[in-house]
Amino acid sequence: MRALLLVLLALATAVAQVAVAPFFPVLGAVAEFPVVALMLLAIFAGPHAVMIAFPILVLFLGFSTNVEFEWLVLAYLPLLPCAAWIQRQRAIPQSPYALVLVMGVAAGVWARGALSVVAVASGASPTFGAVITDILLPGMAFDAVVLSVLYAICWYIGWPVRSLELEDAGYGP
Amino acid sequence: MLIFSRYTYWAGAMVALAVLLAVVGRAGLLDPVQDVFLRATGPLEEGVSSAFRPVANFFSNVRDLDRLEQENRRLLSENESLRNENAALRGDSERLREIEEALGYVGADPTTEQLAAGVLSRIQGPLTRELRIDRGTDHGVSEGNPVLSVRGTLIGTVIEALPGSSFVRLLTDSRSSVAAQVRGSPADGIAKGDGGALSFALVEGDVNIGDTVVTSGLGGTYPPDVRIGEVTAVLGDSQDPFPTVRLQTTVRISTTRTVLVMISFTPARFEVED
Repeated sequence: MRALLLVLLALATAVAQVAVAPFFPVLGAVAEFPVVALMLLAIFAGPHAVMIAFPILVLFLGFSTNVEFEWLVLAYLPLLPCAAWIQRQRAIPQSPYALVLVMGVAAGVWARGALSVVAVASGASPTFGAVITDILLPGMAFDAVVLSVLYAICWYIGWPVRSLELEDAGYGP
Repeated sequence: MLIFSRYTYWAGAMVALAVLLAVVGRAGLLDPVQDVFLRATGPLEEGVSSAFRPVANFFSNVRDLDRLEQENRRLLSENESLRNENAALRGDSERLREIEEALGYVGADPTTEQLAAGVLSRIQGPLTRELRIDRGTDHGVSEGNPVLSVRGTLIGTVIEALPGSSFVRLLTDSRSSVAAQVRGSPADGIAKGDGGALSFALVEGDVNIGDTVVTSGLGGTYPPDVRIGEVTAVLGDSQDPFPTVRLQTTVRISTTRTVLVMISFTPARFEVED
């Protein structure tokens, strides 16, 4: 049942990325639903759920968007370990919402940056300033808003926040 | 860095999976699977898109209200002159047909066979703009076919054709570039996307606001004389080797539902960098 739910979530995310996100660009940036979905899954369902959902999501996204699988892995793979690392940093406010915001925005910057590099490698020639002002900054604002709204919904439902460290979550060696 | 080591096995497995999928995908072995997936999810994507399209239209119209008003005024004035021009061209066309018949001329424009296709989804990422359409190799679509709006404006190229659907790279994608020229003028250059808008780069010759830019056909990637857009701004001074020229297409890609694929046009050379 849990696996089926993860497959459905991956499918919904892939469909939303091509059927919803392009309709609502903000200053040229579109929502990165894969980042948002993986981040909320990590926080509210634990790292193990992300580890299962990730390859399914990459497969579905690759089919839907026609982006090569290796680039999708490059864009989204560091999300979970980096989020866990950020969660460990005591300098960052440890309220769950602040953590989700920092982790989500950082993951969004990485994913957009990586996909921009892929586009440049394929022939695009944007200026560095354009990548910052037209892609990364609007994307950060967009991710923060989308994450905040979805986080509020999950929090209202009453789902508990999980640790992202594997041993804490019970899946460590 | 201990935290990273705990994810090592999983990350390694994902990288291995990515390499495997990349190799299998490059060999084309995943195309049938992708086609089945896209056929299965197509109705779902279409349904979700249909639900969100009116909302997107509303926001798009609100955002573009000023521009649409100006455009409306300009189009009204253009309409009258185009009607007059059209009447004159009809006369010319009829005369040309009579002359061709008299001379026994048999000509066929290889670029005129067009196939209507519905837009299934839009794929928008950093610097990238693509569409997926509901026609593929089963319907005669092949990679490199130019894609037009229903009014005949160039909007992109088919970059991957699956049996039941195809992916189209739009002109506004920052990886797109088209050899172009100003209609009725020797000025030429490269029409390029920047991930959202169009520009006319490396222009040689005089360009003025309002000029119509069409494909030049150079390189054989696109047929000649297909409309791309109109010049909306010419920036720069006499010291600049090339002016910065902005183009505006009349096609609203964000809400386009039907496109035309020039299935009879085969590009002289077609390569898509991955």
